[in-house]
Amino acid sequence: MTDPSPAADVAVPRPARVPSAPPPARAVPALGRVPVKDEVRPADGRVKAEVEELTFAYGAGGPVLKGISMPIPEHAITALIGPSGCGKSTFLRCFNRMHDLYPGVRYGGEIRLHPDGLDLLDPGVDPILLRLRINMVFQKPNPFPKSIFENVAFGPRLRGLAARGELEAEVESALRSAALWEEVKDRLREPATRLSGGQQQRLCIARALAAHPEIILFDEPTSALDPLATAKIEELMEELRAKVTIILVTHNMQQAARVSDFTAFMYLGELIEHAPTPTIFLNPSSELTQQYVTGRFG
Amino acid sequence: MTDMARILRRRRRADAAFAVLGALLVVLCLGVLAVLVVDLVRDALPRLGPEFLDSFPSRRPEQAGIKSALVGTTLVMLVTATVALPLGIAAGIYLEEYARKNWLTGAIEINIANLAGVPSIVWGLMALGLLVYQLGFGRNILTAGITLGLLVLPVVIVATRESVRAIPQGLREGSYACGATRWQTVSRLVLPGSLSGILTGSIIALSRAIGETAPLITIGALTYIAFLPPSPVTSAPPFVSLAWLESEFTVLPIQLFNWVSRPDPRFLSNAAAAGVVLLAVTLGMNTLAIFLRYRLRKRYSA
Repeated sequence: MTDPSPAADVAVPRPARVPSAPPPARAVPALGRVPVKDEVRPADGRVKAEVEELTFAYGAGGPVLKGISMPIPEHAITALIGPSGCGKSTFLRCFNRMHDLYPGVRYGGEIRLHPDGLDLLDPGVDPILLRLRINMVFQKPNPFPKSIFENVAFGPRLRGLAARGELEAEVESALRSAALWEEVKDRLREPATRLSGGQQQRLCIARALAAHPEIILFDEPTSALDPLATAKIEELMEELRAKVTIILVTHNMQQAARVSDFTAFMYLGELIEHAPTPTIFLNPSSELTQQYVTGRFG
Repeated sequence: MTDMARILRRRRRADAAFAVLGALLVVLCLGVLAVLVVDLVRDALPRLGPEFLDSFPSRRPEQAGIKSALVGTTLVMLVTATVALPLGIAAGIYLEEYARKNWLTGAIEINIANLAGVPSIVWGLMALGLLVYQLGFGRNILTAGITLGLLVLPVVIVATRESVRAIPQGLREGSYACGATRWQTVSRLVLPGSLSGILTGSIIALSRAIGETAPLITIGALTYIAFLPPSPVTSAPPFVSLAWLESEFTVLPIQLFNWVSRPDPRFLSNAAAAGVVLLAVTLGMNTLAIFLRYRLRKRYSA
């Protein structure tokens, strides 16, 4: 994973809702964890997933995630922010057990997926079934070296859907939801790699949508994109919220401020503060959060 | 300032000197190759022709041909490809995509690299001891094909692994994130994406096998074959026959070797002509490899 280009972080057309920074301070204060407040639970109480004391470690190393507990509200965008190495991507990849692809990883605690209350981390849960419910969009657009059509049809085909008409309907509906249909409807047979970076990322979103997931994980989805393509993806995420629950890892605080409903600030593998996005950016409880969102470190 | 200019001039001179040296060496290599090929073709010219391809070997040099050797080479290569490609490709994919990385796979890796360097005569001795004497396969096309197949197996495995490894990890993760199983990921993404590299490596491996002489002499290939193996296609059901596998055989390089060792200098012309044919076949296979790579790259351009 490469670090996002600085351009993606600064050159953004829309103004950010971030207060002006107080005088710079050098030292980073000690960790102060703020207990999760009831206000991160939506008024109707609908929670898509509940993370309980999640710990995670790679191989022989020490824990990368040190006991994270937080709810993931349904049909909302939850942003995970924090400086590089704080574990936000690692946390995100626990939700679809992506870590299982690599040897020697250890999970602790649980992530309950609602409404059925399934514990995602239970060794008895098949990660393949899980990934049919929780899909993912990656930092670098990764369209498959196939046609545009075949990229979107990938998920439906995995589930055994083969009838031409049904596939076409699935592909069209997913491309429409990803705001890409009008641009590609006349060239579905062309290689996906011929699309621009932003189109490729929307294709990856369409590919995720075609699997009809309940949650889509976005792992810094715009860090490789220019500001216009970024704005389109952000707009798209806001629309998709009506259909799916979104968890968004972003290196770009302004992006979290623009699109998310709830924001969780992580630092050194711990969840420091989780609150509605305006609270995190305008009135954080933790001094560390305050210093991070105002750009004093990170 | 003048110092900088002088240093820069010296660096530019070194740069130019290396360019000239490189160009000279390239011309030298190609020149030697050209002389060899031209000499070979000149010796071969009096014998090259349709009847040379369509005649059995003979005591009379001007009537001798390579019909049985050409058919033998084709059939042996068929067996070699059937043995080496499925085994090698499957092994390469298993090692890259499925096997856990531990000391055992490390040891297997080193051994495959070593096997690729084992002299071909050793493979011949192995085949003689194991296939001919122990297992009683006989000195036939089947044994020859298996021997050459094992000989090039490491090359196919290494080529497969390298092209599989070249598939970006992001594509695999994208596939798994959609809920694909390992086999779905391999068959829908990894294999199509690495096919061009695998095919190129496989064809290069086969074109190495086609020129091998020593292991086939060891297992007892004949040098004088004035008949063709039974046809693989028959007129009666089931229309295919595997009897040719048990036939005695000769191959192009053995035929060539045989003619070179004859005292009658007129056979040298035959040897040169067989050499040209062997060269043409190898060149043709390599061209096919380049063509396939080009076609598949275009189709699956990443």
